[in-house]
Amino acid sequence: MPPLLDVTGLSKVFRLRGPNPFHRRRLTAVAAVDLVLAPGETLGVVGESGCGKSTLGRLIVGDLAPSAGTVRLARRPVSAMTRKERARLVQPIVQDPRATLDPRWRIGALLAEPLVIHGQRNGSADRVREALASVRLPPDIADRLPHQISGGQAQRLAIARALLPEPRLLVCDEALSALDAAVQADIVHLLRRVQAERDTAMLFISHDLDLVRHLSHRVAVMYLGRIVEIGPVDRIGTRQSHPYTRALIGAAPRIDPHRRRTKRATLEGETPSPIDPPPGCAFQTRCPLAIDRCRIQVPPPVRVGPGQIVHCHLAEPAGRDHPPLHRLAGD
Amino acid sequence: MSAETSSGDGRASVPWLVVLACAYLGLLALVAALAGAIATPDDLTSDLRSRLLPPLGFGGTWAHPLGTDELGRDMLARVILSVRTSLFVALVGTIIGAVLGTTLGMVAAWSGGFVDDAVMMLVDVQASLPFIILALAAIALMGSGLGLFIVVVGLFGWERYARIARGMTLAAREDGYAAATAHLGGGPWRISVQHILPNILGTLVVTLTINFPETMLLETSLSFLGLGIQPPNTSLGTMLGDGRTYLLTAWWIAVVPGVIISLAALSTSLLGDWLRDRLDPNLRR
Repeated sequence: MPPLLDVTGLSKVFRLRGPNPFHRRRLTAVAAVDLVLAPGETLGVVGESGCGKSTLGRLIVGDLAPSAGTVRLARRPVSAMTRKERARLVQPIVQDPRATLDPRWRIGALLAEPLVIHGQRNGSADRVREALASVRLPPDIADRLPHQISGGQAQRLAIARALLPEPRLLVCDEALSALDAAVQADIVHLLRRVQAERDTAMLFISHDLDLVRHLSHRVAVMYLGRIVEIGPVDRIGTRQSHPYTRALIGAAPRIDPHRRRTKRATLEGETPSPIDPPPGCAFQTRCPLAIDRCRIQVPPPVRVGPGQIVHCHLAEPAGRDHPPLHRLAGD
Repeated sequence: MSAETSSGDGRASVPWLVVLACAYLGLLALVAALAGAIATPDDLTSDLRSRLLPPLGFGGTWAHPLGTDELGRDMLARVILSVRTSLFVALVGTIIGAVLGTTLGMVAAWSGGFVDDAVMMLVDVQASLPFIILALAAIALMGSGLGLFIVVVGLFGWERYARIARGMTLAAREDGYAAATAHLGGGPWRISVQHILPNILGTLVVTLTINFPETMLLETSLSFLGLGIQPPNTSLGTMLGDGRTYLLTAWWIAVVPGVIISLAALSTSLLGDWLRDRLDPNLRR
């Protein structure tokens, strides 16, 4: 099956205004990202703040133009599509859904808007009612204004609205981060149902590792604008993983009274600035295993297991025994 | 969460000052609309035998309730015709300025680059020049017809709308509902007209209510200087100018139009403040 989303060599460089107008500093938010996504698949994107995961999402929905590389949806470059074509393929779901709702429009009119834009005015009243029902919102909510509904309702509404152009990919950028746990579970359930019913693919950008693990089939880990590891959700953080992935997972707080305090792989120091990223491997300044080669050469992708790709000089291709990465696992 | 705020409960009561302001503006509008039926230029024939008669209550008679001017013309008839002229010029002028400014501001925000820079430079030029000098130059060069006069008055204050419209369009485009409409496939026209404009209308209306009295005063000043409304037409500004000479002997010639202008300015401001609060949906109950 051909991939629905195909991202190759995607980079985004922002030119910053600095003290010297003749030499603008460059911030590399996304660097040489490759990824594919099949219909109906969910890819989680994790990483700390400023790692470029939101920029990646904005590049994919077409908010930003790439500095290099391409984003293809259903085999066509996003940059060559019209607004309406793009809207029928990809829709974003954002962290603050209420901000996406015009405060002056009634809920019913907001839901009908995508239909009007795409020239499907006929029977729009029925489709609005269906859309409300599909996200389990009461039909009488259509007469309300956005400030008269709760945060959870607003997120359901945003999802219902984004689904009306029948997109094949949803890009959820921290879509659940502003909701409390009960509502989060509710929306997770909703997203899963949508995916099952419509075979919608999802790019799920979040800093919440547990949520990502819960929702995703595969996970991509980003560090300083690069994907350092991508693979099936059950292989992320295992012995073959990138040192950064293991540190990230080790840093996540966990409630488990039966587990003894074990030594966790934590990181020293700060994330380097994306304005002057370190040469070689982006992670070399903080990596406990870094060798000389890491400071010179950008590590190539290494396939360490089924579907699992790690960008690390120390990673051993699948099938070999005792990869040196095991040293960090604390065996 | 208490999201279940009921939308019943009716509207908040309108403050009596606003009611009064509306009543006054309504009266002015009515007078302006019916001016042709109530008073005709024939009522303005001079009668030197009855010049400088005081208004009712100050020794005047019912023949001339607001007294007469230095040429013996009936003040009431003059005021009625002047209100029509002044309101018309100020209203059309304000609307020209608002539409022009808002359009340019929104176009600047959407285009960016050279167009944006050019519009913003014009805004700065306009804001840094005393407008009355510009108006004087334009009228002196191109004559003093009513049409040109209205256009000149209309150019007054457009830069305020342009600044506000540009800033708010840029802000609204960046995040929230405008971006959402774009994601759903809506174009700049739909976003500007259906979403951004209604949301910035409140601010624009407030600007309009600040600008309206200033536009009236501009008309007044230019007419006062003899460059505005030309005799035999009459405006509140011309009346004020005429009355200046007689301020000590026949105060009513200047005071009557002066009071009308001041009250109109005050009423518009009061109404504007109230409208701004009403137009904000987040304050709606």
